[in-house]
Amino acid sequence: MAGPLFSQHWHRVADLRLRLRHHASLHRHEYRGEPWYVLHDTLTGQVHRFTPEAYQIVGRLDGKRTLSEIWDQVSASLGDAMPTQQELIALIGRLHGANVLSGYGDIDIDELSRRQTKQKRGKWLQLVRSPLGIRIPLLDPERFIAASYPLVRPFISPLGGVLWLATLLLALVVAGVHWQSLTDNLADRVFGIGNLLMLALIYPLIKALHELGHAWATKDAGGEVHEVGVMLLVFFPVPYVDASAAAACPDKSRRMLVGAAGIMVELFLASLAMLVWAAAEPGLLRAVAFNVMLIAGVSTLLFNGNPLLRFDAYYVLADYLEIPNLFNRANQQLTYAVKRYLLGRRDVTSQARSRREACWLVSYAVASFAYRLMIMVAIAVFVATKYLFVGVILALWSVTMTLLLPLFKMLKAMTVDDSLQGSRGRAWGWLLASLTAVALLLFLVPLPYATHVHGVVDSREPAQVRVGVSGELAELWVEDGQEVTAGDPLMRITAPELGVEVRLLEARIRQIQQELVANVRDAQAAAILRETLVPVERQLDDARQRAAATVVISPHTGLMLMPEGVPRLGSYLHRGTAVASVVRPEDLRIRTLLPAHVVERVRDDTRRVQLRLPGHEWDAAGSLLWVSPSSDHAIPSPVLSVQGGGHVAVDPSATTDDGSPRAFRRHYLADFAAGELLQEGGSLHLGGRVHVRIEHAPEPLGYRLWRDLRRSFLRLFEL
Amino acid sequence: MPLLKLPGDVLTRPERTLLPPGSLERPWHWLRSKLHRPAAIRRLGLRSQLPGIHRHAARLASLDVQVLAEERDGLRLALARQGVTPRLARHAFALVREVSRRELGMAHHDVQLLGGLAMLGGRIAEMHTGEGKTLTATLPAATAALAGIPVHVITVNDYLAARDAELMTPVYRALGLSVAAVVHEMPPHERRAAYAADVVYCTNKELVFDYLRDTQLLGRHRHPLQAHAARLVGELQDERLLLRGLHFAIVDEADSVMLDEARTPLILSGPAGKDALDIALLDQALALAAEFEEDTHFVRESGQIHLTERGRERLTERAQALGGGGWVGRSRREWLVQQALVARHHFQRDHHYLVRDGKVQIIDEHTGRVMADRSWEKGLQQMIERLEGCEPSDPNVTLARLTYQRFFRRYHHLSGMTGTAREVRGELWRTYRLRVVAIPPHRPSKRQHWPTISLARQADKWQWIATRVQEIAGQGRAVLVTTVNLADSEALSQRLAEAGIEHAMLNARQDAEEADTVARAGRRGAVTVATSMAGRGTDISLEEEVKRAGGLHVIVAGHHDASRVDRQIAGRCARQGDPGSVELVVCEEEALLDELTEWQRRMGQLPTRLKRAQRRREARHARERARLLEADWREDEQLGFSGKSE
Repeated sequence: MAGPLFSQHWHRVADLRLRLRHHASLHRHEYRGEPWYVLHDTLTGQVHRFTPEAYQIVGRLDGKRTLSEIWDQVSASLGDAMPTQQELIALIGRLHGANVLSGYGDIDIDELSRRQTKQKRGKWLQLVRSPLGIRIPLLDPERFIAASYPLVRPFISPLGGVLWLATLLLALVVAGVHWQSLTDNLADRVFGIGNLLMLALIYPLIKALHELGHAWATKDAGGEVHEVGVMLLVFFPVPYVDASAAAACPDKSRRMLVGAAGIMVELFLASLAMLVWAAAEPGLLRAVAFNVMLIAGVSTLLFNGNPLLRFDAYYVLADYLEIPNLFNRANQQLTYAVKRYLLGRRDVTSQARSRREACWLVSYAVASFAYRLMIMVAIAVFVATKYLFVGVILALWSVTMTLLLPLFKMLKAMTVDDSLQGSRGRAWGWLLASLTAVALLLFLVPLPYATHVHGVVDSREPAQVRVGVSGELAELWVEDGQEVTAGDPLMRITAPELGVEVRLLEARIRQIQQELVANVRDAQAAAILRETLVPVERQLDDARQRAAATVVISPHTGLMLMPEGVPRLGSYLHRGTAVASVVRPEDLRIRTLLPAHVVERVRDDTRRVQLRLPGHEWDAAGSLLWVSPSSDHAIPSPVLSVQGGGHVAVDPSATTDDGSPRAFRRHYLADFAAGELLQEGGSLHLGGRVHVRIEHAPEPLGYRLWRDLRRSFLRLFEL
Repeated sequence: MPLLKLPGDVLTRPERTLLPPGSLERPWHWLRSKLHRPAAIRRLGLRSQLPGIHRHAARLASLDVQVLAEERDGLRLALARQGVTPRLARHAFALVREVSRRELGMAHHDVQLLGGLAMLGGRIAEMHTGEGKTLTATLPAATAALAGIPVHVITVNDYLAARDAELMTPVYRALGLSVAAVVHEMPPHERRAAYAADVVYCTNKELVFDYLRDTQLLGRHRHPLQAHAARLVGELQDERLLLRGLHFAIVDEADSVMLDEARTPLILSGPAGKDALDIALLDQALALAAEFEEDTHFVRESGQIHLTERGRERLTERAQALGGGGWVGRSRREWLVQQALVARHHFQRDHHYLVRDGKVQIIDEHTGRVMADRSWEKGLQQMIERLEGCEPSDPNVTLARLTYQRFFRRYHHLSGMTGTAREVRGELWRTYRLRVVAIPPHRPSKRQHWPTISLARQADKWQWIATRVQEIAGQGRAVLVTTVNLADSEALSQRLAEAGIEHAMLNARQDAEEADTVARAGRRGAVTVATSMAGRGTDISLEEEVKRAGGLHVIVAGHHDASRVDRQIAGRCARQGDPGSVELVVCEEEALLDELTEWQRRMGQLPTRLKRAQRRREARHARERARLLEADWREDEQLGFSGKSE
């Protein structure tokens, strides 16, 4: 029972003889196994749903009985389910508001004009409330739909369904086969300028077919479509049709089909495009097919296919669950759940008729709210960054309307409204308790806090091991990362041409010596030969020396590291190539670039440093050695840049004098000791990547979020 | 803008059309209720008109009767032609003042002129009790009436309406205006004649009921054009219509009329026919309710009775056994039993109703007066009558319903006066768009506020009062004791009788002799026991020796629902520069403390707690009124299909 049995205003309505207007027709539907009556206003296409109890009243509105007679009859016939007078008045008021009643004794002209003004104002308000989703009705497509319907009619059948499914499956298989080439460098292809133009050309065509799909399905379900228009969703035009007339159709699957028709049409188009794309030669046709696939396949599933937004899938879901008006009723159910269970009120009525329905409603309300919030924030940020001034205002406006207004309403309900009278204390209790809980969690409970950066292995004084001679690597006596002492042979290079050179020179010397013997009488010639012998001997010495350098010897005691990787045996090495470096373990360090906002924290509050090599499971302890006092654009190693797999964004327009990339933002250099990492026995490469985790004192999450938020906004709006 | 004359006849019936408030209107008026010019500046504006009035007055004072009459006719013509402009208003005020001086021997003081100007400007004049509000009202009333605007002066009870009309008749007559008072007993044709007068004194209830009767008679022909047409074709008997529209109203005791009484809407009811109510069914319900036990089958929460789950089950069982048409439908039978439970447990004899001459009569909670022509709705009256063993009266059916909030705002010009309005300034603005102007007193008040006496038990309180009454009356002063309700006043009366103190009672049962009692209350050694509102607006005139002995002493036996009422009662003494004193006696058993929650009842001194409880009750009542108004608009919206509003 909702409210008192009698209404104080009964005397005003008791003697009215009302009837339904002729353009309103009643249909019987089944929702969740229960009968409902749906009133269809054929003039406006609006649909209203009534319970069988309400039907008892609505059905009696024949212009002959007075409302008080109707109430008496209904009370007698319904027994326990009898309506209160207030409920009856509310029902009649609803019908009146829907313009389906007539037979008043006299018409309150003022009230009529007020209602019209209010309706007009409502449209404007709708526009003001959601400037990011404006609807512009364009034309009435009914005649076109009616004319073209016979052509489409055969496809709306089981055969059509099979055909559709077969095409879809075939396309999926083909897509699987061509997966690699299909997804190769997708982003570049999609966002190329030429392609964007083509997308813009194809998009309206596909969406128009999508909406036609809805319209034909509505026609098939027995409804009429009287409004087609364009909705400006975040300033992007999206067509829409008003298919609300389909709700009058008693068959659930038909109604679902109306909702799903758009997606089905698009998926069909995408499938066809897939087949064309696979068969066609590269060229314009193939590009068109690719774009059709992209729009009709991907975008449809992402937007229209999401039941959490009020697009196609939402209506399909609502019809499937047999919960019409799912969104509103879900929110009402949530309100009910809060009032009933949190506030302990008994004067509220549930929207749900079964436990299962209640679960559906509540979980839908929560999920869709969270999702909408996410989308809203994303859109707001997107718009704010794209269209600066106007965008910021619009974004603020939409945030206000979707987030702050409900918040304000809630506060208003808790402070001044009467609806919470009696449980206001509990409401405040819950609100404050949950706020306190969140605040405690955010600002009092310390959570582990660490900074993660990429580092590169670097040596303070690297001793390069260079190959003294060009030649093939014959033997390698040490391994990467091994400790060596000064004078240790590291590797041997075979350089066969050196031996030849030596032998050649030796032969030359022998030749000169022979010639000397032969020319012993000719003093002048002998003198010349002797002169010639000297440089050749020198050349030989040199050649011999070089031949000896084929064995590479360690210049230092320390750790031998090969940053360029271990050369393969037999590979050809040019003279002067640095094949390895020998570093002393104490000279090794991990060099990182710290973004400006973490520097202070790293410098002042570093509890522990952990180092981890990529691909390894274990951590080694490290320690902070040094942080540069000033920031710079230089990048010590390409490993740290985004292109090299790191985090530091590179400024594409600027390079330093020596051609190495420059960071987009200024960073601070920081070095960490790598001693532990060596002892753990990891294979350390100079110039290799190391993940560095710098642990700070635990801090509640709230402060961090606040800092991040502030920083993001400062950066976002360049304030 | 000058006040303009609108055609005033029973068919045209001009009244302001009210539109439902827009969504921003409420916050806007809430803001405006907080923001206003300082009272001093507003008073300064009014004061600047005084020299003009005095200039006219000096000129008029020397005129003889004949010339004054010519002056009057000339002014009347000018007012009719130009409307009430500020210049003409000053002239008219001076004329009224002069006429009053000649006819009654009382010239308006400056503060009364200020009050009159405030009301002419459509505001509420807050004037201290005993400043002569009745005389003040003649200024704007006569000014408007001279311009040909029908004026309603609205007071709280018939006695005051009749008295004020009678007292001021000489003034109006000398101004060439007709005066009439509408009181409860008047037959329709006399009422119609009375409403045709230039200035009508009436009570709020009579006025609204007459208005509702008119709307009933007009039915669908609410618009003047429709009404004329209906009269021409003979569908409308216009000779039965009473009012001439809602032009200009001055509401005396504005806070009481517009707020305290506005918590319940006025309902015009008519006989429903004998068969509309099944007495046997009521008896069954009462018998069934007798079986129900508190806390098991029903609970009482904040003044309402709710059935528990067990109670519902029991009801279903018993209803099946009883069978019959009346018990079909869960909501219907729950309602029946609830009504029966309310009749049995909620309404108490002598607190909520009286049994007099075999009839159950409702006591107005607010004034403590019997409301002879009122009855509870929907069988409740008959149930109580059955319980009291009276003959069940004929059931009534609602014909029309109207809230004061709506009714008063339909006036083209609304103004008021009261002694106590500053606490509800904001609400008066939000509800009626009326500003309050505080008018300073003519002579400084000599009222002494004695410290509050706190006692533990109710019995102690009566005992203490009896002793104090004896003491003060012994000094040759007059004593007035006011109690919160009728039962209290009877308990006190009994106590006084036991102590052998002679006293008069002013409450619901003695209302016939009220005027006499009031007249005697100022005598030496007189002791009067009154319920809260009995005697509002009445002047207890003191004998000279009483004045010398220290004037009237008022004992307020317990806080009332609003601090305004307490102030009003305190205003019974020390009027117009007389001496007087007031004291408050409270005890731990006050019903007002129910407003507080358990822990709050233990916090702090008793007077502090009572003040807190009183504030809470005031807020609750204000909320009830706001809710009523809001529901009124909301339901009106919903009832758009009914095609008519009251």
